[in-house]
Amino acid sequence: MLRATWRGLLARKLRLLLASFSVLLGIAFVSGALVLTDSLSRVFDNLFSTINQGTAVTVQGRSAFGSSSFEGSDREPVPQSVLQAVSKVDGVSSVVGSVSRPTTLLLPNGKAFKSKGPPVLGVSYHVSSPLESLTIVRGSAPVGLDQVLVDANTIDKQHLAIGQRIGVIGNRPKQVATIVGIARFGPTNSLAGATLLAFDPPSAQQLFGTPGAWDSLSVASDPGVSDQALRDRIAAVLPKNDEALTSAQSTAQQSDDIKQGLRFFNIFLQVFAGVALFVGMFLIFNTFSMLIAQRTRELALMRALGASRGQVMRSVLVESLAVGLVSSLGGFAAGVGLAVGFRSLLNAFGIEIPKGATVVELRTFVVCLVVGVLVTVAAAVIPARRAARVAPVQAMRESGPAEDKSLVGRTIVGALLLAVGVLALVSGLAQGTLALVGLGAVFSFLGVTVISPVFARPVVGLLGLPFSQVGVAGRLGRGNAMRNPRRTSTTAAALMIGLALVAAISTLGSSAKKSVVAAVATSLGADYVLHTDQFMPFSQDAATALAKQPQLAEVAAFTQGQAKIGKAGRSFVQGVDPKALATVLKLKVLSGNLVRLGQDQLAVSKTEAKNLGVKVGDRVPVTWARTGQHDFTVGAVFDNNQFAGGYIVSASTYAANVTDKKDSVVAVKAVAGATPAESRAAVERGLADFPNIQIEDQAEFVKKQGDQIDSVLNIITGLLLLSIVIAMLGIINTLALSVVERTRELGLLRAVGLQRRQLKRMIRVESVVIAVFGALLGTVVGVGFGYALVTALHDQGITEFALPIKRIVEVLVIAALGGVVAAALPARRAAKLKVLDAIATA
Amino acid sequence: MTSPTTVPAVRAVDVRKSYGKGETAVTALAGVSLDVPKGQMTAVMGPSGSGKSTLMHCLAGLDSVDTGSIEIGGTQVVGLGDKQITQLRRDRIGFVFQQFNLLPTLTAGENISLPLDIAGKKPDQAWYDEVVRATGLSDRLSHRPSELSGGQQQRVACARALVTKPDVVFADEPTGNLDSRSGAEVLSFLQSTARVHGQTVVMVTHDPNAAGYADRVVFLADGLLVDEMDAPTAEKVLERMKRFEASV
Ligand SMILES: Nc1ncnc2c1ncn2[C@@H]1O[C@H](COP(=O)(O)OP(=O)(O)OP(=O)(O)O)[C@@H](O)[C@H]1O
Ligand SMILES: [Mg+2]
Repeated sequence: MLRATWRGLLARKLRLLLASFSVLLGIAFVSGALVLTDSLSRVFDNLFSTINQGTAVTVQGRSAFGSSSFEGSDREPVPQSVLQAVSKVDGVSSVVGSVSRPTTLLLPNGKAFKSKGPPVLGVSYHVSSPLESLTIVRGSAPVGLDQVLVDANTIDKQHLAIGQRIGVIGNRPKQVATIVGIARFGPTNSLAGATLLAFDPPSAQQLFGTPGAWDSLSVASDPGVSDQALRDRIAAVLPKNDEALTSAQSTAQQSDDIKQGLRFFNIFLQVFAGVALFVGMFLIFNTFSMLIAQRTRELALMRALGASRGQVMRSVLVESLAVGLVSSLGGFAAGVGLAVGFRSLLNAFGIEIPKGATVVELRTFVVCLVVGVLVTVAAAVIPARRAARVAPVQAMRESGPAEDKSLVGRTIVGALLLAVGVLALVSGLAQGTLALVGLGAVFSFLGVTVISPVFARPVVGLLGLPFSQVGVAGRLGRGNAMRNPRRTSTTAAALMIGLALVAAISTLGSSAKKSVVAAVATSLGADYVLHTDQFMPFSQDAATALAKQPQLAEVAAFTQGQAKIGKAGRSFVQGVDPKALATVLKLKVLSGNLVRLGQDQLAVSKTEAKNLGVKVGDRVPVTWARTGQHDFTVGAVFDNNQFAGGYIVSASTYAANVTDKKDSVVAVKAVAGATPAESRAAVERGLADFPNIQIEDQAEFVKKQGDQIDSVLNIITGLLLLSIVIAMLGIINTLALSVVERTRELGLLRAVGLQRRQLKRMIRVESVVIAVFGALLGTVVGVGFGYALVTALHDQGITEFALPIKRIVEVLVIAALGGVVAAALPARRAAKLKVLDAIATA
Repeated sequence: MTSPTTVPAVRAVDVRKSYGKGETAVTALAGVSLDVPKGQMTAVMGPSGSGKSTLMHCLAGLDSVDTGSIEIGGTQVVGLGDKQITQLRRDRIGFVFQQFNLLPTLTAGENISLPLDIAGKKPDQAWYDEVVRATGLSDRLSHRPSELSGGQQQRVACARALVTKPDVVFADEPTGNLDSRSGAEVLSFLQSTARVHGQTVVMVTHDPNAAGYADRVVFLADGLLVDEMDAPTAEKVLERMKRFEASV
């Protein structure tokens, strides 16, 4: 039996090749993502341990939010007095304080440098400290406010050179400085692509930090003193605001921060790998089903010769196992190559990855193998069972086309699956449980797939109608697409999945865009919204300068940060002058007094008030990263407003509780009667020293937000392309198998005078009709998903629903074109058939 | 035979064809010359492996020849490209195979008009009706092939072959898979198309009774035309075959 299986496998290897290619692609994605993240973890572990070499202990301000340095800027700086105290601790050989804060770089042409992701940091440079992680490769150390050292990566990428003058905007308006040196960060040209602008320590404190204080201290130990012992000794002399970490702890902390980001990237890629594999399963299922249908006689003969059902089933499963193994191994290997591709993807985002070995863990291999084999075998189970049910008498019967079985059972099962899927999806969205959402999507897809043969014939018939008007090739193609609704449906369903996801996120995107328009119209009173690229905080001097412009009636500066609020947990809080708020936002106060929001008072949106179960006058515990927990009183409850967010405190309350007193957004209202040109000129004058701040009126703001939504959509759509390509492979495979199955028909058609050209057109029509059917299914399902998403995200600000008409049309057109492309190979094969051979094939 | 002034429906001159190369080469046609006059039904007979099917395929433009010339209604077939030869098959040649003549997805009626549909031509309604009437299946036209008997299917196939008013219809053992009654139906159908409508039919058969329906029989052996007989009857054919077998 096994030998027969093996022979069969070899005989059908071409037909199985495409199917295994689909699994291979999915597995390559899995493998690539794992290899990449493993390699990067290793690289960053190495990087940080190199950087921290020589540092025994690090001292920094304590954060109320735990250890992660994501909130680094919310740590209170360490005063010089602490540095002196630490330097006197027994076993300390040297201590150095450093500054590191986000800043803005102004290029020599006066334009602000816009980073695609990695931060721009203003840092200190200590000339002769062994603890300094920057090494000068060219030029000299910076001295004073007007000399700066720049990392080699930025010098390269921005085409800078020693002697050029750049600007930095930190705590104060533009500071111009001359590049005097080029530095490397540890062993690499930069810290993961971050732009580093280094000044001498006092200048760095003045420009970016706090004079007389440090963001962190690095301590070197005397020989023979262990890091842990020194840490304990230092901790004993620290004030309660500060903490000490051994070099191992801080390496782990720094590395963890980056790995956190990588983990997200990994999960992101794995989701797309999962989608691709799911689509691949359809391909495997379809291929095996068709091969078994074509082999009915052969299988029946085996049964007649005494093979048991179990043996037949096992032989099919062994076949799928072999396919799974081959594609897993291929996918694993291809993934190692793909990891390099992902790396350049990160590079394209401007994230410089330090060079390092490609790390292939045993785990990656095992995961690929297990997932690939499981996926393939699972997809082949149903076809295998079908094979086992072939009766011995079928060996004798003329194997005609499968007769139409009743679709009633199918309808019931499909409807049930769909119902479960929708239920899981909706409740998953309501609870915010992503796993449940995913499961719901999978069940919905399966449900639609199972049920779609029921309406495949009429829908496909309708889609094919225009073609059948044109000529006999179209009519025959349409007939072929309609003749086996199950096959057509499964093939189309594979395409449906990718396109449904595209349609869903497009629906979400178009709804989000419409919501922005609506939010601006209903919530924004300001004429201009001012912010930096990526909403990086900027100096409060900007708002001060704007306030001096007589044409501007109101300048409201928003500072934004996070705080833990009652049981709501970590939330987004804005600090703003309450009086100015009333002018720049169309904010409806429901109760309390927003304008007179006082110290330790909090204004809460209607939704958040409901979530917290509070009303005006209630007390809520609020934990700030710097100052820890205080009880706040609810001073006002306001109607939901996109720009107000969930929580507002007064500007002075905010300033009292955070370290980094910078504005994120400034909203400006012009005086009545000022023309747009006048008011814009006034804003431009006010921001003369802040080229990093963008000026957007309401329309520009809407457009900018829309563009951002679009760019996210494009990335996701791009990654979904993989699953769409796999689905197209599925169409190729189905058509190729159909060509084999219909060899005699094709021969007959050619014998009675069908031209090759017409034969190709016939196959193309079948392909296009199937593809468009899949796209149509995908669109309907996807818009449904999108609608559920939009409904679930109503409170997150997606208040409007909009159909992505343009995208839907694009998808349908692309699907049709894809159908044409997919048909090319099978059509060529069919056209190449020798008429006589085709007729002679029994 | 035929008067030299009229063009024959089919003219083959010294047609040679062999399969394979070198030692294993099989000569299927060793130089066959044949004229098929218009409006006649010609039967091709001969032992198995004598090259009947090969001849038929070559004459019908389904297969290429090594050397020689073949004219259909005065048009040279040898050397035509796939496109022209396909068009020739579509417009001027009808073909009936032993089995699997119909597309399962099309109804009987659609199968009959298939060559016209392929050509994008409107059927000559009177002729179409005539052909359909002759099949005796006017009321079964909307049925699929799977719903018809073998004999009915072959009659549909014959109708399909005739619907374009071709120069010649080739039929390779059209009754080979049928019982004698169904076979007789098909054969009288073919005979009447020649006798009544002046169509030209070339048919391969093993069956002397079938050959009896023809106006003329040619005998093939080892890839050569060895004999022919006008106005055959089943008995005469049978007798000739016996003689033939004795001589081998
Ligand atoms: N495709 C082929 N490849 C090789 N040899 C072939 C091929 N087709 C036919 N032959 C050989 O050519 C010779 C003539 O075959 P052909 O099919 O024409 O005979 P036939 O008279 O139709 O026989 P039958 O009465 O059995 O149908 C035979 O010897 C056959 O083996
Ligand atoms: Mg033959």
